Amino acid sequence: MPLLEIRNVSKYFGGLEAVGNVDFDVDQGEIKGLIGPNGAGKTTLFNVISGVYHPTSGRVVFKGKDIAHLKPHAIAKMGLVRTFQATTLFNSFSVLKNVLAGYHLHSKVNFWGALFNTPATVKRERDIEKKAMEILEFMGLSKYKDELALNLPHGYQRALGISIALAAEPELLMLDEPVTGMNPEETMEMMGVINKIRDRAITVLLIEHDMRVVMDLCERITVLNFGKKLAEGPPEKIRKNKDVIEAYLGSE
Amino acid sequence: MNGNRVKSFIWLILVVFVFLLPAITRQDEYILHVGIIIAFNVALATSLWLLCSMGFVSFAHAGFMGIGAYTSALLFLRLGWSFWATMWIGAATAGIIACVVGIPLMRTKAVYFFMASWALGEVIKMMFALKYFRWFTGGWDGLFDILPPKLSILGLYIDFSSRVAYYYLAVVFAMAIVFIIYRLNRSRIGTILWSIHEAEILAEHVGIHLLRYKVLTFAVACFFAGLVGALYAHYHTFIYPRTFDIWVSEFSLVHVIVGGLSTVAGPVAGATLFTILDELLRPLGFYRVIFFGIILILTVLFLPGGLESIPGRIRSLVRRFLK
Repeated sequence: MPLLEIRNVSKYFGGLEAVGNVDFDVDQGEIKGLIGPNGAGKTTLFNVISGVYHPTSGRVVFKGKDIAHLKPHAIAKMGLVRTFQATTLFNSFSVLKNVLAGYHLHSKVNFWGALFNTPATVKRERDIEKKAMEILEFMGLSKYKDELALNLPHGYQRALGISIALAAEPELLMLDEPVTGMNPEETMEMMGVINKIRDRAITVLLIEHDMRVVMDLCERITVLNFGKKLAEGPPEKIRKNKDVIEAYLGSE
Repeated sequence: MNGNRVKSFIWLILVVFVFLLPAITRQDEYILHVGIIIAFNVALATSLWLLCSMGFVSFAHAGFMGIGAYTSALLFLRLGWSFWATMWIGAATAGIIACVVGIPLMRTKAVYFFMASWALGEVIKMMFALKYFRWFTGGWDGLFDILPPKLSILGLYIDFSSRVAYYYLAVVFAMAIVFIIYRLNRSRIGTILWSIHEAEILAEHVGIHLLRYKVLTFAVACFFAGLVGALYAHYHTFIYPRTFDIWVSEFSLVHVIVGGLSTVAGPVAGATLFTILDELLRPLGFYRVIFFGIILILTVLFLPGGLESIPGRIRSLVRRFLK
């Protein structure tokens, strides 16, 4: 059974069809790519999956449960966590505190514990901080832990966005254009990170513009164009697909 | 580490000073009166600041203060209940009403929340003034003879109609409210509220149930406002709808902005200094509001972090000078 199933999902804004009858799966443990030219409906589809929008029709099934009408926080709780295209961070928090905020899901909030700083609360906070530091270490951000998020260079901000999502301990991580605006070096680094994330038994669904990145990283790719599924398959097949080449380069 | 110890020390000195004030001033009635008003304003501004830490600016705060005051006063006057029960019932009523109203209200954002809370504050005020219930709530004439409480424990008899006794009552409650909100802000709950302030959408996508936290925070803030209202009513012994006018919310907001938004020291400093300033400018009558406006504008322009940012600014100035 696939981890995530998108079944005939459509999303209309008024009369405009942003996503029409899209159908694909994400299997446990793979890196799956979702590509398409500008305005193909990738981000809309991401928003539908993560609960920002509800689909007009169709089903989104995660771990065998229909999540199409759940809110984002409930979806995150089930283990499906996303990052954002824009560098959406808790800007005036330190890097460490950003990740701590991401750990919300896995720590209980206790009013009396918070009020009197009970030993149990102190211990719990310390455990979470240790885990947060592990993530920063993993993402190569540990030396910036006290820096404010808004002062980080662009590439690190991206990495921090992913760190926050990892803190929520996802089973399926959705990355929205993780290498946009990065130089080739940063891009290579990010690709390494994404591979490492998969090695931690986290499934990855990735939207990306950069064809090279998608071709190198993903085992399977789904191509969207004008809100419809254009093609699906392994990178070699997509590379040779006539429709895809036409959509990206334009027809004569 | 060192900085924290200095801060704790300053707070300690402040607390000791506040407790010794009646002795220092030889129980000067007027100064103690100002002290009581400062305690009310500090508690009100701090509870308003709790909402600000989540990114919400409420103009309904005076209204909820009024709900606490009216509930407590009515139970005391009409049923003869003890203040020690009615103050908590008043605060709880404010909290529960905030919880119910909050479910639709806290779905609005930014300027829409601002307007909706303004309207809510006005509606609450008008409810106190309803002609139909005049026999019960006193209409525009308000309620009189809301007497201060008495207390006898362990053979000790305290009559809170004495200025000194009420001063200690107000100060202890204000300190408790400031302490609770300080602890909440430093805890995980505070991190969640600030994360909603910073990037609501990201907070939601790491699993924070936005509406639940918003409504509960609103309820907690309004509970404290209601508590201040009850204490206010039994101190002044007279309340009427205008006591809880939109002005009160606005002044409280000015206290928070001038004091600074980033820590609990902001509203404490802002409310204290503004209340003293208000007393000094009293001969000017209502014109003193002009000064408040000018100070507010100057703060926003030249001291964006508020009063609480002054120590940090001095420190960085000194450091630059030493270099």
